[in-house]
Amino acid sequence: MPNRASAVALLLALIIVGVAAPPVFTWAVLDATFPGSAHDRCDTRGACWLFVAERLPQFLYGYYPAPERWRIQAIAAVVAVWCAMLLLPAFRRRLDLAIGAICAGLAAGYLLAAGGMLGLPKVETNLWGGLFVTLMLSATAMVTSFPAGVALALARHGRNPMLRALAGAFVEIIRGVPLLAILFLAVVLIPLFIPAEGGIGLFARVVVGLCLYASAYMAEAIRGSLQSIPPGQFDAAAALGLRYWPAMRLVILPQAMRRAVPNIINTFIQILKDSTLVLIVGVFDLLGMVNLAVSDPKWMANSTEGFVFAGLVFFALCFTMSRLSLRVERLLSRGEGRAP
Amino acid sequence: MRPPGRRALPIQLLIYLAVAAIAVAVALYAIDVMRSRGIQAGFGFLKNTAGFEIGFKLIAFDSTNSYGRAFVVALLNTLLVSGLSIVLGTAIGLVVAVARLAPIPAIRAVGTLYVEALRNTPLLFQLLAVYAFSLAVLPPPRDSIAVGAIALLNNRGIFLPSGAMTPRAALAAIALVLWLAGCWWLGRRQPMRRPAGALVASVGVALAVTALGLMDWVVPKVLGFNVAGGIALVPELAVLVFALSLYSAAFIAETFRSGFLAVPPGQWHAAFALGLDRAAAIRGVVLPQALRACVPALASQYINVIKASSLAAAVGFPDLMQVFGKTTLNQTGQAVEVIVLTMAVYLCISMAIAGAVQGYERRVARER
Repeated sequence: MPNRASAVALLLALIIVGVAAPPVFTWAVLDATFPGSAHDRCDTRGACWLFVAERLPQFLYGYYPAPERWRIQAIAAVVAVWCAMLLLPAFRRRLDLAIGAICAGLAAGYLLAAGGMLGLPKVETNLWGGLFVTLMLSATAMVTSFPAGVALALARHGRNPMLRALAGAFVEIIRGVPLLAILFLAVVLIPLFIPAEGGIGLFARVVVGLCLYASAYMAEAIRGSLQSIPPGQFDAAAALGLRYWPAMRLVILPQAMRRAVPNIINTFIQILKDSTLVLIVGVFDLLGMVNLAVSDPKWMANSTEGFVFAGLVFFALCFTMSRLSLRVERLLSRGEGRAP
Repeated sequence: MRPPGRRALPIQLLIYLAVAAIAVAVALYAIDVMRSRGIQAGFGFLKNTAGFEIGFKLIAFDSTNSYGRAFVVALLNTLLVSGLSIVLGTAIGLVVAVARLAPIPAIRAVGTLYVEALRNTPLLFQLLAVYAFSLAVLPPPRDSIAVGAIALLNNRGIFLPSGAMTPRAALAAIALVLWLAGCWWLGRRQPMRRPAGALVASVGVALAVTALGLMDWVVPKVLGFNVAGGIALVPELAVLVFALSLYSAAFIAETFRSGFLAVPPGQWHAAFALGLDRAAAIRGVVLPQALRACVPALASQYINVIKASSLAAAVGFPDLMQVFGKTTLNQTGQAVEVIVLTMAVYLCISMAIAGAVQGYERRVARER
């Protein structure tokens, strides 16, 4: 009887929640030591949020020198203002402005964070870390993967056999191996293959690896929607006398990109989540900093608090994006139904 | 729609030449660098003595064995982790998918909570958190937790009873295989009725129980500061399989769910009109169609599990990525060969699965 089975399952679920929730709540809130409370040391009963508070600068900025952290805060403030501006009616539909702002913002962010000009002291990339590096790495991979993905998708979709084969091989190889293999490849092989004065920094090599990875997945997300464009659209564009590039720019790509938006956002989520793998090759992003902090014998007992913090940050970022993707999908399905 | 034709031909030729020139220049430079660093080329190193131990192995290995054997050991470990995670992940995924489709909102909510929580945090985060948590919570071997008097749980891993084959157990196992093969062969022509099916199942279960019972079992015991006897699953393996199967289950659940939703509602109505109850409708009508619809997506999830098993390198479990991509690469310095070999293995597995799915889809398309 399905209804009886469902009722039993519901009862089980309620029992599990009822058993698990009170101790978790007691640990995280009632017995916990919060920063600013009367105690300045944690007891062993509840969660020790003092630990997270004490390590928060490292979780956010890594070993970025404290007197220079205002630069990262400035970047964050500009990004926040820019995001808020995109919500204004005047800027709502200006995709060109948004893309331009992202590229300019990212480049400015790198220059400001690295320093070494305009009287700013230079901050080596091996001092970068924490949430700042997570966001920097994933934003770079997302921004680069977009044009690269469009180019690869067009190459694979086009008629030129050489380009098709090259793009196809690139995408399939990258998608067929783990990201970790690509990161090892980038970290170990780039110094062997590319001459550079004094070598290329680890951070830069990791960025290259991550961008290669992101481009292949982005290409596949875009190619899927390119294939869903009915052939009639190509014929209609040709009948209007449009050559290949104008037809692509004016007729095909606008439709394809619109349909690709949910997939693109899902790829963004994947990039953000997978950017954590850089800790295995020695770049300390948010997860890397948390992992490092809890391996300190002084805080070993507080690993749970550290991971809870990291998990909540990642969840907040990814969940927001996945809701956005759902909303766009719903918006698009409404738009598709309308007559032109 | 044609890409630019004649006009662009010389330009294209130039681009090809430029690409080829860059490739040749990079290759020449790399050969030069490797020669100057005294790095040997070729796969000859596979025959050299590895000189390291591997903590977990399915076949015999010690430090006097070659890199080639280390490669096989590591590959088997990768396949073991992926296989276990795929089986467990599919089972959990199916349960979660059913929960997500349940008629009671509270159960649906639990399913949704599971999927959203696991899909929206990085796998590496889950892996490291579970690893740190289990090391913090599990007792030392002296205070092992006994699980049902046959298995032990402590911070050195999970200790399961080990079973050695005896001649009589082997006989029972062969009988089981023959029985199943014979039944399959007989039932090929026409589907079996209920009593016959029950007979097949009960004789099969009886044979399986006999075979297991006749095996030579050794139950792990706490002996001073250590555990003696049984199979030890190192904590890294247990944690890896645990995290990997829970994470992939969230994606597999969504695959199953969309497969179920892809079955037209008319199929349900038709099944009910034939007098089938809900369970029979699912088993006989909906599930076969849903499974067929989600085979390609399921296969790509399995490929993801195999690729994600390389995160073993983060907890130090000796899988292919750890043993080859890290240890062997550092020892031999033959970066190009090691990375090419490692990538080739993953690529071959991915392409084999993708090829099998393509074959399956073609067959299904022909049958329609």
